[in-house]
Amino acid sequence: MIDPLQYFAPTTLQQASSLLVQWGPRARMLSGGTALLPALERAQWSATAIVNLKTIPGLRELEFDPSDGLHVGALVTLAELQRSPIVRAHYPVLQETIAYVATPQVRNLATLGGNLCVATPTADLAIILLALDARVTVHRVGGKDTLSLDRFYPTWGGTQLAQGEILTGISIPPPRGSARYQRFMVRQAVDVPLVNFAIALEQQEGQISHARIVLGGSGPRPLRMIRAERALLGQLAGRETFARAIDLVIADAYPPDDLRASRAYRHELLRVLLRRTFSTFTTTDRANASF
Amino acid sequence: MNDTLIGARAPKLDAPAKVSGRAVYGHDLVRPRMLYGKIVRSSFASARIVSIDTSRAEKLPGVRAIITGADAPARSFGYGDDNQILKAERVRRVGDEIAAVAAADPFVAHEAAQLVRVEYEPLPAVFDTDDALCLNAPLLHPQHGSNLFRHQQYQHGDPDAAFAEADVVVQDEFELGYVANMPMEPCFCLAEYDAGGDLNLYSTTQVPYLLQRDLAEALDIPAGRVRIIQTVIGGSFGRGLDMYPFEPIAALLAHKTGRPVRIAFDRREEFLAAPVRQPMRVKMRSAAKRDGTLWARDAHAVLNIGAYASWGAQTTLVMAQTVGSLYRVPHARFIADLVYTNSPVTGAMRGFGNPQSTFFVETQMDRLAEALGMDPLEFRLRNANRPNEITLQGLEITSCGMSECLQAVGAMTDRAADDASPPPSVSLRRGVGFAATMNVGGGARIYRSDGCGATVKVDDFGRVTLITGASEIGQGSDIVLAQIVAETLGVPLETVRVINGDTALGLWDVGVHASRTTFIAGNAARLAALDARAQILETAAEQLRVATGALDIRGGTIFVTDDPAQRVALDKVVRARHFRQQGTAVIGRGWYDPPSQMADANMRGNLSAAYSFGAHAVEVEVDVETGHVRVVHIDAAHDVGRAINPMLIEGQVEGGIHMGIGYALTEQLLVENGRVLNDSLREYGVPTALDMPSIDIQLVETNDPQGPFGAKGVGELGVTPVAAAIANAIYTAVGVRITSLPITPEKVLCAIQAK
Amino acid sequence: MPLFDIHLTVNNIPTKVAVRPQATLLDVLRDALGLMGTHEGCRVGECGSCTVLLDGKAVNACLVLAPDADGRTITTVEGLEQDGTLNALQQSFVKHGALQCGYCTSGMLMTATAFLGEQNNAVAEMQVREALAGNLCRCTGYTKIVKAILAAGNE
Repeated sequence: MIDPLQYFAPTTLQQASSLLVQWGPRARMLSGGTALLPALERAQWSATAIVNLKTIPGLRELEFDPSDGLHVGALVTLAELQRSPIVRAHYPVLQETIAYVATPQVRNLATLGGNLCVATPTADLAIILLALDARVTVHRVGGKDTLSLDRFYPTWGGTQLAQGEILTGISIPPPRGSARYQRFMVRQAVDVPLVNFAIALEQQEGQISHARIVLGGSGPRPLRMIRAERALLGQLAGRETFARAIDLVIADAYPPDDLRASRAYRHELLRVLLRRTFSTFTTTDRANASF
Repeated sequence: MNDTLIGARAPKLDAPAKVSGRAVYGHDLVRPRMLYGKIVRSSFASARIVSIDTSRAEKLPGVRAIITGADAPARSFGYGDDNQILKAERVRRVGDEIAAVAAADPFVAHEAAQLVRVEYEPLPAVFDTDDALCLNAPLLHPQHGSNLFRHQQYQHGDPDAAFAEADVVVQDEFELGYVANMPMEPCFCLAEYDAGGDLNLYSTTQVPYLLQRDLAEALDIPAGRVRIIQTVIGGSFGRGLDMYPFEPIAALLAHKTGRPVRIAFDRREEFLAAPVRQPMRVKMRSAAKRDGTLWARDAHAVLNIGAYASWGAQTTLVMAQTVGSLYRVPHARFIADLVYTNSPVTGAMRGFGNPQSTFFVETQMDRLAEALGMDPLEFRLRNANRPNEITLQGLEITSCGMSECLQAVGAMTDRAADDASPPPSVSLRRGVGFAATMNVGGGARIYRSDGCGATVKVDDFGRVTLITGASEIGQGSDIVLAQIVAETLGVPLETVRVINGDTALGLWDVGVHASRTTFIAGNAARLAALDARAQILETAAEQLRVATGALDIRGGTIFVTDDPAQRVALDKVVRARHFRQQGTAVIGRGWYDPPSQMADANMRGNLSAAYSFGAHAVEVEVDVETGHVRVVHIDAAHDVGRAINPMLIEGQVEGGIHMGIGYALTEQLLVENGRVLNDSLREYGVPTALDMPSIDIQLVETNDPQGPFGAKGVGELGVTPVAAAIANAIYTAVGVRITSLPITPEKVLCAIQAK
Repeated sequence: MPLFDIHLTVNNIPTKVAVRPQATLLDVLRDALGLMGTHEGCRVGECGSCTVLLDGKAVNACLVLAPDADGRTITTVEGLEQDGTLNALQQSFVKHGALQCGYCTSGMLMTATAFLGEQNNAVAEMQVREALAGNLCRCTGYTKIVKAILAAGNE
């Protein structure tokens, strides 16, 4: 049961912003609602005012430009992204990652903007989009601002959004090399991940020229494994290089130790799954990465 | 008599209502002037209630009543006579009932419940059974004198001597976790006093006639003034075997307000307050002779029953049966300690002890076979139960297709091995494991009566109505009973309707549990139909001027067997019997109570009039680097006596396998200090459509002498062997024995690495 | 809290409902419109029992805030019958024994309706299972549900 609240349906970003400022922390933004409604239902969040962003036009574009990359309006649903021929052609890993998120019904409602703002430490899309160097556009009083997703997530968790600020779009740079997303669960669907991570690598003439490793559930937000990334740069893609990077990830990763699984086991899972995933970058056989 | 309806894959009678959204479940029930009840529950596992302040809640517009322990009868209730409707002084678990609100709409009830302020003084708590049995442990129920609710012992033969003389002995410790029934519809009841002052309770119960008595006792009113009406029930699986406080609470609120009051749990409350399966630790050993003869078993189980005892305490009887009588075992002992702790309330869940005991018994059957160097299937076949044999425990086995079931899954599995494709990755290993099962299939006398009553009425238009005490909770008993009645009477299936679930209409029945409905209610329905048939034939014989023995009924027509042209329609006969001087109606009466015994104090006795058997062969795929287990395929063979409706039996087996896979691999309530941490479906782990293997089912028909048309019960048979067969398959695949449930990837990987 | 007027088209019938702002589409369908065929199983989008079609797409009715449903088109299980008879998918569920307690059935049917509506080619078992990942069933083990959907889809 959700506690009583007031509902607002602004038609411009300015209106929405003013409402959010006016109501302060008692207000919550509504986009897909798939995280908001359960959190209110279970009293994990409280709100006395709901500001619906879906009544604001112009936040549903999905555009690709080979030199600029992909721009996604905050209200584009995960199902729309998953089915988009553009995404399938240029960012197949994004499509694969979305298939892990919640259920088909939830993906029909959930929006990319909303998903990124929920900012849980194991969020599939935050992890892959950090690996893809995504940037977000934020509406602020007096204009808009673009910042990297990495900066959007402060080290202590949550987002950088101040009251009244609204995430309006996500930009993903043109694909560099290729990327993988990996998630380990007991059940085949809808399960809590025991570990999850994304890797993006670009190789030029056999040498790694760009590397991103992003780990979920190892802190208050998805974390880039900077030491491991650096260890890869300039190296030849291969078993030994990857083994060094994996050691660094294991050293830097601090997954939870709880009733679901011990930290030691999660470390072991990371080691195995990182090795399997890295190995797919040296071969064309991607089947090994899935299980 | 023609047999055309026996064995028909007839759809459930309620299927059209359920696919069109017309079925009215409890949660869908609306009554005029109805109020919404909401319970205020304890947030402490053990505490003294210092004060309850309802003043703010009472001022909320729309609130009609708030009750606390002061408004409830002081007497205790429940299987252990240890529970109170509303706790006035002390709470013993997270979720204990403290106060309740009735309000004009659910939003107000929700808000009011939050406004009730309870002040607690925390008391020492015990969560672990070992801690609870310590000398200085805080007592949950001081009047009981100990936290040991019950100690039981079963024995036949001389186990100690047998282990000394055995050639091979295996020994393990097993640990079984918390799982929950988790039906898709959470608990529901609606209490309403009628104009005459009788209490009508609409309920998701499985035991309407026992609830009638229990509710009356708890409320201190005559049971004759209580009527229980089952709603359409969205699954239950054992949850509804006991009365829980929310039911008398709804009655108290209805009494106080003079209006109907409904209490519907949401999912979170279901996790908090619905009963769960007892977690337990078991120390067990099994022994065999070198020639492959199973020789002895000895098991000691300690069950955590939570804060209050329930009918779930009787699961030890079923475990004793598995230990003492699954396979022919000359010496056996089973000891059970049931222990109170400040933990979730436990109850009954499909299989009623048998999934647990089959897991530890069948794990050790595999280990014995290995120790003997025998093929696991051969070892099982050699010691399998046989027809017409009384076990040393006193179980009178009549029909028994255990060997046929084992052979069937062996054959199916051989075929699978022949066309097996190699696993898709080097880290994956496949293996097949077996387990057999025996379950009560002819009722289970855990109550003074295991009976069921039925009435068959045939009206002037030829419409047949079966009024039965049996409960339909989704399993499809209505169509099975209709098939039995139609077949017995000789009428088309579509002329039979089934009325049930109302204590004012039906004759008594102990409830839907123990896979008993087809056997017990089926026999009762058959007897009632035979009675009605005799009445019809009596009048038809007068009309056709022949002896009744010369007549038969088919398709709703009575005819002379030797001269089928001499015929009369059934409805015409009914009218002829009705509309005449001193006429009468066709009313068939049936009552069936099986020839079984209650267990004695030593857990001996022939609990059931028939026993059902089965065997599963499970193929798993284990990732040796992560420990992940995927169930690839299951072959299931079940001795069902006679398959009255194979489609429904398959459904029972498939659903049972689903629960078994959950129990074995994915489901677990994470309970810390008496609190459930993962109280959502996503975190709890009910298997999804993607987690299910392909399943091949073979039905073995042994034609039980007591069963209606030879049928035996099958409701629990699908779930009981699954966890054991999966664990055995994991051993075949990767050579590790996991003795604790659920079998998580971490446990598997640790075991592999420790090898 | 004031009630909110919203306009919906439910099973082809335009309707106006006054809702509490904190109500969900599930509450509106069940309590205001009496469409009890849409079942509540968890209220947090994890069981699929309340799946309905929202502008043709399968969604959890419990995850849609009532005022946010203003102006939308909704199909519930009550809207599946054609001219008073069960449609092919419903008949397939009956024939194949694809339900026991039936509580999840409406959601299964709505998910399957959306899924089959999107398919141009023959339907494979794995696709059906993936489509059903958001619908839990505690009775059937899904076997006969998958069969019923495959049969209806590949007729």
